Amino acid sequence: MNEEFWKKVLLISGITFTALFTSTPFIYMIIVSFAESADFLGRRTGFILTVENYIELFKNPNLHFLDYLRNSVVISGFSAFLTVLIASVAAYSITRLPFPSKSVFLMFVLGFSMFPQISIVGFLFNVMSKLGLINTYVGLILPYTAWIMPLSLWILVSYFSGIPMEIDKQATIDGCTVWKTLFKVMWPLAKPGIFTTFILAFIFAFNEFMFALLLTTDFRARTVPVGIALFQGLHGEIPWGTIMAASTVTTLPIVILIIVFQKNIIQGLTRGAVKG
Amino acid sequence: MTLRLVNLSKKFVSKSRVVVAVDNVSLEVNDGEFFVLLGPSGCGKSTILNLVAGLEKPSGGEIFFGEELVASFEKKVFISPRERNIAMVFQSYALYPHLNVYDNIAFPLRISKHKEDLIKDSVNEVAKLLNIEDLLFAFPAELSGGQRQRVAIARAIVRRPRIFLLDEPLSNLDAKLRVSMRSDLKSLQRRLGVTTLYVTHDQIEAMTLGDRIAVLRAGKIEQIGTPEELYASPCNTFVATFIGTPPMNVLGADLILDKGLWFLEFGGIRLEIPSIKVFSSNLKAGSKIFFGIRPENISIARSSEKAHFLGSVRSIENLGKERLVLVELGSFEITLTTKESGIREGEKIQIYLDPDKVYLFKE
Ligand SMILES: Nc1ncnc2c1ncn2[C@@H]1O[C@H](COP(=O)(O)OP(=O)(O)OP(=O)(O)O)[C@@H](O)[C@H]1O
Ligand SMILES: [Mg+2]
Repeated sequence: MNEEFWKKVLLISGITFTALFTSTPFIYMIIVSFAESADFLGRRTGFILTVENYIELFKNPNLHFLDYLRNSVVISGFSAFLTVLIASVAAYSITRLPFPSKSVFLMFVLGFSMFPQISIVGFLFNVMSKLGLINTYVGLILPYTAWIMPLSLWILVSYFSGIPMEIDKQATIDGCTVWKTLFKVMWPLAKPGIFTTFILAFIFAFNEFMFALLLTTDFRARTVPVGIALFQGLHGEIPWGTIMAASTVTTLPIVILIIVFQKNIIQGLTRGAVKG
Repeated sequence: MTLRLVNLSKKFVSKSRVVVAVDNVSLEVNDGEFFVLLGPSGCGKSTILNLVAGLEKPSGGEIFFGEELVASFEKKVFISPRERNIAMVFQSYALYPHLNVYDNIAFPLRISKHKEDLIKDSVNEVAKLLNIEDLLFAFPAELSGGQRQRVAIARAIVRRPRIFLLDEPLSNLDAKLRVSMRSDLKSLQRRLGVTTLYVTHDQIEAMTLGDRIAVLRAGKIEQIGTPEELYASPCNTFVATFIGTPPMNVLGADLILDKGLWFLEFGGIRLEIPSIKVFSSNLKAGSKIFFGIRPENISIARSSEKAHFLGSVRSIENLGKERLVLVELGSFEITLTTKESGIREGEKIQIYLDPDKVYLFKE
């Protein structure tokens, strides 16, 4: 009885602490975004509620916020789509074709994803400038797709290997080409995995900072995270209010996305682990 | 559509070993025939089916559908499974879990781009044929084994395939359902008149379904024949023990010619056999051979004039209709079936082996 009680206390306080700890910056972000002045705590006037920051964000053409937002959405969307496409073709071949040392290959792939991003930025910058891809969507979509590929591959390999071979054979006999088998049978069967991969790739590309900072110099392809970081006031001061408003606008859709689809995502990520 | 396999072989080569799964198999399935491949696990039955379906490429030999060459190792011909227009039913049914019964059956038609109203008619027709009209909008996970089986068969026949391939389709069903599905399958095949190649390791299934049966061992054909032929004249001890329940007794013996009469000598026992048996088997006097006799051709003799040998009862198994009795005879053990219920374990009995029903084998 007593032990049960303490367990509960521990659990509840743990959850509360974690929730507070992780959400405080977000709450602070939202509060500041609605404050007339960012250092409202130190002012005599205190907190004054205003939507001025949001109006500034969307109305001031010099901030290019809408450009950044569009860039982010297009680049992330394409990266995620391309990732799912390539990763599912790769995962399908890996699980279906006789392939020596499959697991070594997969470990190798995973190993690549452990590299720090900074280790390739110099090389990446050279390549992209030689190809003339600085400040273009393609210039960001390519590295994003490559970077998120290992994780996507792992998720989809674990899904596809759970689909019995006889389903493929049946599809072949029913008249499917390899491609039709992949898109009409494998994709629907691995839907949660495909979905998770898409969302994770999208979120990664949406949040990514370093590549975007390096490979863009103006609003033509610059994404929101970099754009926000480089916001400047008229006289060089940092416009905290606008920054927080921009952060709120860009974070909320992602948070909502994760909350709505959390079941799918957790299922997608743990599937391999549970199945062994 | 006739199906002809000519010197068909399939090797699987992996790092550690080479498996010859199919070894020089030749056979011909007539138009509309129900042909069964029978053999123990691992003898290459599924591999033959996969070769016919085009899921595997032969490593030797040829496959003909009618006059059309669909696969040849030597001539480098390989028609893809899509273009062969065959249907296959797997042991696991392989229904598409994300599609309901209707869409499962419609799948092959949709892939070959039939018109939706034609698809509807075809699906309804086969659904009626297989008694699954009420299930059309259920998903595979909601169906029983027998229902899934019917859906898999419906999906297979909806395209009017040239050849119908079935890989142990009944082995996941319970005994009662298996018997009723067996007769349904047979009458369905008759009605459609489609050339059928059926794989099983169950000899009862093979005997009841097949117009003809090929018995396989280790990738090779041992014997091809009608069920009656295989039962009445098995060509070797493998086929002899594989066909028939309970299985035939097979014992090693010496073939003796003594004063113009032929005898089998085994375990200190001498059994006279008709000389015609020896002449037709072209075995030599004095050689070591095997002889077989089915349990139903051994009987218990109470009156001593008919009695041949004295044996002692080791065990009795009640099969309901009759009893399966294991008898120690000389230094051998032999099984027989009897309707008599008065026998006890350990009892000494006189048994009679019908010499006319003895089979002689070289190996
Ligand atoms: N893809 C493969 N790679 C390597 N060996 C294989 C492959 N497929 C089958 N074999 C081998 O070929 C032999 C025949 O296999 P097959 O599946 O045809 O047997 P089967 O008669 O269908 O047996 P069962 O009744 O158990 O299904 C087996 O020894 C098997 O190990
Ligand atoms: Mg098999």
